[in-house]
Amino acid sequence: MTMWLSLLALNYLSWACLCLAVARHYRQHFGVDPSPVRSRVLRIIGWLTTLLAYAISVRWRDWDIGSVDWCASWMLAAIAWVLLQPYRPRFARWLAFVGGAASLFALIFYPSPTLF
Amino acid sequence: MSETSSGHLKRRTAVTPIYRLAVASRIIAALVGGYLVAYASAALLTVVLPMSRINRVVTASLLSFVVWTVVAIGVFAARNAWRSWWPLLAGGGVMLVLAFVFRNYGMRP
Amino acid sequence: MRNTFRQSMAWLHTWAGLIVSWVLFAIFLGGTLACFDKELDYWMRPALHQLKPGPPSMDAAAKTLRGMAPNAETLYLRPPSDRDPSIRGFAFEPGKPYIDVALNPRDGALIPPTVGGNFFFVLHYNLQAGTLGIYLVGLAGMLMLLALISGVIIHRRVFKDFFVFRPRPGGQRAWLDGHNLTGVLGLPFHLMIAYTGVIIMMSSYMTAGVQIGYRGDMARYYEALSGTSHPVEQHRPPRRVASLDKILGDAVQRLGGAVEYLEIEHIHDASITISALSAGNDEVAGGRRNLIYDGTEGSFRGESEGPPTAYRTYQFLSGLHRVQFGGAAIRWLYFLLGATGCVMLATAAQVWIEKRTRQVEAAGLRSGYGLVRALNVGVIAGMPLASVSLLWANRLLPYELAGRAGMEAQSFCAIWLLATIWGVLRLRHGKPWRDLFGTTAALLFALPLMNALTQPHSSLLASIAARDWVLAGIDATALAFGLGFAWLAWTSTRPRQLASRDPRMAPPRSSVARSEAALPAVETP
Repeated sequence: MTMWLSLLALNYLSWACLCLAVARHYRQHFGVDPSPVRSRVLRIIGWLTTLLAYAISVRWRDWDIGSVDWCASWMLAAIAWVLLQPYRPRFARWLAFVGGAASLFALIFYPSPTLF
Repeated sequence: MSETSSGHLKRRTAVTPIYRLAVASRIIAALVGGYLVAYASAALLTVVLPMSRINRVVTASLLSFVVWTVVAIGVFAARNAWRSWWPLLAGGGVMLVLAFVFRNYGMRP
Repeated sequence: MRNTFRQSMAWLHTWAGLIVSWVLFAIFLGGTLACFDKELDYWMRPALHQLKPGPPSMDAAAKTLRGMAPNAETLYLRPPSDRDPSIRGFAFEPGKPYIDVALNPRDGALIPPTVGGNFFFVLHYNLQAGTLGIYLVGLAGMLMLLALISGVIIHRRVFKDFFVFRPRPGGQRAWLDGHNLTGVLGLPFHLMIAYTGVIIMMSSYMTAGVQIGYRGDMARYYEALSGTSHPVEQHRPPRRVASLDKILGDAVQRLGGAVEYLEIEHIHDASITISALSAGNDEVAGGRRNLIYDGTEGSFRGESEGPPTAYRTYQFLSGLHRVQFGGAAIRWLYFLLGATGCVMLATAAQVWIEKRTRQVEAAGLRSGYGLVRALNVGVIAGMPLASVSLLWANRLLPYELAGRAGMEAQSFCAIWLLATIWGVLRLRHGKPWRDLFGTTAALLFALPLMNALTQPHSSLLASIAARDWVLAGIDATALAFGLGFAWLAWTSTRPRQLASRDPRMAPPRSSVARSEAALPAVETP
């Protein structure tokens, strides 16, 4: 269960970062354009978290089932972000941050025995 | 779908019998003609693939559905009905004949 | 005629999609529910809910099955699993209907028949229409594959609009955004499902390889696929039949995991052979090991050689579709992704209708367009209602009733037909969407209550107390979906802003105002 939530949260964080890295969406959220550096940092964080999620899921359940786990949670996280964003933008960002932080915390301090 | 293409569709959807016939022709070409080409490609691949027999048959069948999809897209992309039909019949026919001529080679273990 | 590649793809997308969107909706919803077919099987068989703990008796089950199908050559028995505690028996006698029964795992007694969750699975792969249905579903799958690919090609802002969803009520924009959102973000899943769905049945659809490679000899082809050969008949009855329970125990030990099926071949002959197929739920491609036992002595004979490489690829692809691997969590993900597929198809039909609003108004509700709109209500809002009704019928029909499984299926069809008629009758002067969604919500909310009244031992509270999460999960999911359908019904009661606009399923006004305040810079292309 923890693993599932971590995967979903990391992928959700990844989508949030990738979305906010686009100037148009950043403007919708914060009213100003992002600086080029911020945009690039967001994009890098976005790709890194989803890579991390993939590495974790493959490590967790081998490449075949792990890939399916990752791909399914990746799509559902994207749909969740895009649906939540227009209705509750602040909550959507908050969820990305808290979810991502919580799953990193859980992965580091409570490493799953199946993982390591 | 972009605005332009939907605008285009709006102009096009003046439903005339000729338009209906054109739609029907393309759909039939994509499904029936596409199936013919896919079937012929599965037959030919079963002959030519460099594997053991059961693997040839399964791989050819798996690939034939990709062939079908590509052919169906080609059918709709063709400029007119003639151009959508003749490559199907020609390509499918040639592959079927080849597979039939070399059918004994296709039965190698 | 059509100038660009993209325009011709728009043409393909519209027509390929239109032809099959309703059929695909039924297939998708059936498949989504069939993610939990075994769980629904269990829910729909209350006789299984009060089982005493103990080992399963495969021998007793085999005896019952032999009694039901005395002339069958081959029997299949599926031992109990975490998902379904019954023993399932399958047998085929020439000239008689296929036998598929659930048996009590303790004493092998027949459990009152029901169509079970299997109903949705059958609906998913042949629309309950036999062989013809298999081909129809295959064609629908091909058209879905075409619609997906042409859809990506025509969606020219696919990356630019990747994150865009503008839920403003009224009109095409929100529907189209909803369709694009579920279509694009779920694309890997939909492509995978369409392709693997077509190739699962490829030996029915594409016979060219077998025609060339095996001169059309299907039996030899299947033999080569399974990597096992059938035992040679000895034309005398077996001295005795070995204990299946012992064989099952031995197989589980040798495999180090669950057994999916026991297959008993040549049951009336001295060559009787029993094989145990591994479940292999830790692999996408499923079990590959097949243990073979002597049917008279029960001694282990050996293991059949694994399937050929290409067939293993096929098993991987079909395994991706059938999702028997990886536990309940992954089935939940498939269930949710399947639900987004249903939304993609429902919004697609809505976009098509909205785009032709003017023609519809001009032609009136009695025209073909009017009929399309009414049937759309019937298919999209009717099928969820019919599905819940099936669960109701399961509990309300007496368990002793003869032909009860057939009556469950009939009630599903009858409710769907009634819903469609309601859609046709009420489209002009009523709100059929609200009526059908509302009824579905009410039935879903009341399902746990009705369950508690008819089967007190299987109620939500009782199953939570018994820590039976499968049983509790179905009631709880009904409540959750009841909320969803109540919301759908509520949003479709609001008055229309324009006669030609359908604000159904759009968000409530207040949240729109809020979201527009928060997101001022929504672009319109």
